[in-house]
Amino acid sequence: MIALALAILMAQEIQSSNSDGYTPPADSQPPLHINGYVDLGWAKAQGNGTSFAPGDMRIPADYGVDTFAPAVNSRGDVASTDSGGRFTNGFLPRSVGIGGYPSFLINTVDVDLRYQPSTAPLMLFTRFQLLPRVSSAGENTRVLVEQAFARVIPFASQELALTVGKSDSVFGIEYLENQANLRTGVTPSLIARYTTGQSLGAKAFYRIQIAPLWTAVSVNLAASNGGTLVETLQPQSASLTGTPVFSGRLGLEVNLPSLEVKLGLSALDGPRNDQSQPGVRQKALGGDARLVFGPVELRGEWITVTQDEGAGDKMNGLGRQTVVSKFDVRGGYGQLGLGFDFSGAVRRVAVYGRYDRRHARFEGFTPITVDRITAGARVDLWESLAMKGEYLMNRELAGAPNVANDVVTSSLVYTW
Amino acid sequence: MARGGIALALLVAACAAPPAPDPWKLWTIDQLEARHDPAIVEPGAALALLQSPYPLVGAKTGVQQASQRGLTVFPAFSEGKPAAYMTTEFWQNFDEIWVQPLYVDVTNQNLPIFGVDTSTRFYSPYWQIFTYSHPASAPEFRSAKDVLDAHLPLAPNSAKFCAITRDATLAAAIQQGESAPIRPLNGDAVGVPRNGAAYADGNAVRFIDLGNAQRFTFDPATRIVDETPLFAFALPGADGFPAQVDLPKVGGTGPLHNPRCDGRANCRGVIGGIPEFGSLWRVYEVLLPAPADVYVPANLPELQNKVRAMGFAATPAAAPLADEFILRVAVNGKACLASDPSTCIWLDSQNQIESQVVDWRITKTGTLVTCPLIEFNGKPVPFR
Repeated sequence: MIALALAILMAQEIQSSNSDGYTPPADSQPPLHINGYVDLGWAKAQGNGTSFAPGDMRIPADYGVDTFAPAVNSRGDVASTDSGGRFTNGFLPRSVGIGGYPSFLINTVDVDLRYQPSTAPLMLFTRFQLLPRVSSAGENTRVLVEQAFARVIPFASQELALTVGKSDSVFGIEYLENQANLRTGVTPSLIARYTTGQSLGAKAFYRIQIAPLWTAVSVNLAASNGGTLVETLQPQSASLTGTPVFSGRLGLEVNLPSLEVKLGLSALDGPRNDQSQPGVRQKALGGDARLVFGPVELRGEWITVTQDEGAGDKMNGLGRQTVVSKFDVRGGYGQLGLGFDFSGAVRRVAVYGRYDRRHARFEGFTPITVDRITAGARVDLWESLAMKGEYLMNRELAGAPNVANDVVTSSLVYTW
Repeated sequence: MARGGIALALLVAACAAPPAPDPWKLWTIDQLEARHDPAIVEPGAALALLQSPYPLVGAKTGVQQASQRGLTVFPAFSEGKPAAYMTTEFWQNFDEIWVQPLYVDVTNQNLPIFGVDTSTRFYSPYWQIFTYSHPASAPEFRSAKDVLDAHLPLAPNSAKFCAITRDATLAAAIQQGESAPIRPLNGDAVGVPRNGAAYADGNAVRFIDLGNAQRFTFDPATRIVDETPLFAFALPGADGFPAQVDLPKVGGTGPLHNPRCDGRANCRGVIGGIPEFGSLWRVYEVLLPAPADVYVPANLPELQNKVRAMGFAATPAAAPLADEFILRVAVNGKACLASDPSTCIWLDSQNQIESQVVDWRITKTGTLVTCPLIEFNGKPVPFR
């Protein structure tokens, strides 16, 4: 993929005098841009901040509950993952370690470096994130290379982008809101863990506009180390099987003057990257839809994932685990938002509600069904400040013991 | 491939072309039953260890009772005395086994509830009891969720061994003509487990009950069950690697090189004849040195032939020994049996094996087995 991109670039340089070739924009900007945002938060979860029920001594502790439910920020970090010493097998999110106590948080300090030379249709992008957390090991700030990729748009006349490196997922639509400054609300959905992971590999995006129909069709394909699951579930920085995970989305969008409709079908197929056997597979299928009509935005997503039983140890972003259990899940969410734009200090006010539902089963364990009702609001001030507040009502509908794990959380994001 | 117990060795022999094993495999009692493992004998079927070439003991019918399946009673040795066990589960390549919760209603209104069922590879027959008091007005509880959702006080209690099964009649194998199970080879009486009813993860199940005394220990912080070595004898195979032989195994009493007993049944962790060890075993292969041999009485020529086919001399003893010595291995067997059996150095305890066999001949395997002792120190293990 890299060789292909370089070849295309070289060919363009040779043909730079041709009218079809790439021409730098007349109002060339400095090639290096430094941007970023800081996401400050305050959150309070019920109980001890986990989904582990008191008295539930089953092992692994994370197989019979939804540990991702008490999320407090846009990264999907939860208030706590402390199982009280009970063995867990790596089906956990990251934790901000506040338990059931109210706490201020620095969720993310984000620095983006974007290099976009005027002499080539190329963009180099690196996103560093600092994640200050406290854990049993004390204060600990994790430095994360969230994204690092090179993207080339080889043809000025075509909407084709080729990307290599670590970049956003191609599955579904929720990855578009991975970053706190872009997300309408505070927390990701219950299925975000399967669709929003940053992928290390290569991807290609192509979109064709059908102007008479106000319509566009797009294809987004990726071959990556770990697919689209978040890094705690499957590491991205190395392929543990030597075989890529393929994922992609076919999209259709209709952009009428007063109505915008976007539909997509996504799929994933490849080896589980939390173990080393290429024959131990994972598959996912999903659908998404968005509708924007005036101040109303309606969006929804659905997914089903199956993962094979494997042999040997499991390895994921949280370290070495044990049995590679067969896993099946299906779920989805629907979100209704209402947003109003203003001039002056208050630029936009939005309120939203989301309903999530997830049904999952680990090999041999009772299937669990959980849902979540989320309500929140966002106020954008000037160009660079967003204030968000959200309440998450988590419910255990079947299989998992009832536990107090609702969350109230908020976020102040300033973008620079 | 290592196997825990004679049953599993027979299993391998019975399968002409076994598929490659899943490196992380758990076989439960019902899976053993489904694949007709020798650990479980069908109603009216032959009890292989109570028929020729083994000595006929007890009622000498050599046939399982017609009314029920039975868990084969395997002879073993421990602390220099006969021992016996049943086999209910085994694991291949698991590093550790965890204790799971068992919720017990102290008012006896509700059946016991196992926290997990046998369908998960995290199932284990090792449980820690949590007691609760079932509210009179509450519906029947059938799962951990039912108990937890009631938000009742849960009191941690002792450890309990229970192997889950779907077979309501399964218990220790009993020979027709007998009323209780016996140890093959010498006919010793052994403990008699019962079959109980419970729920597991919402399902109605049965379980093999060895009583309420603690039959194993575990680390309360990690909830990992403590394992004990089970020594399986081996001889060099045709390929030069150790090959297990079909002889009674020797039960250890503590971690390798740290036994809880002195080799003569003076033990820590044995209360009222009930050992706190001897449920979860890690199989260790013991590659026997060339002078080792096996005692077989002269009146059992077919058993002598079987032992010789394994690669031993089965040297005729200069003087007969008691039946409790049948199939016992002596590290100096070839010499002592021929001259003076009283000078034999028997490999019949962890202490003896560790002192008489050099370390490099003792190899840890990836096999863990559940083989609850039903005879220890030559006496039935009482179930209470």
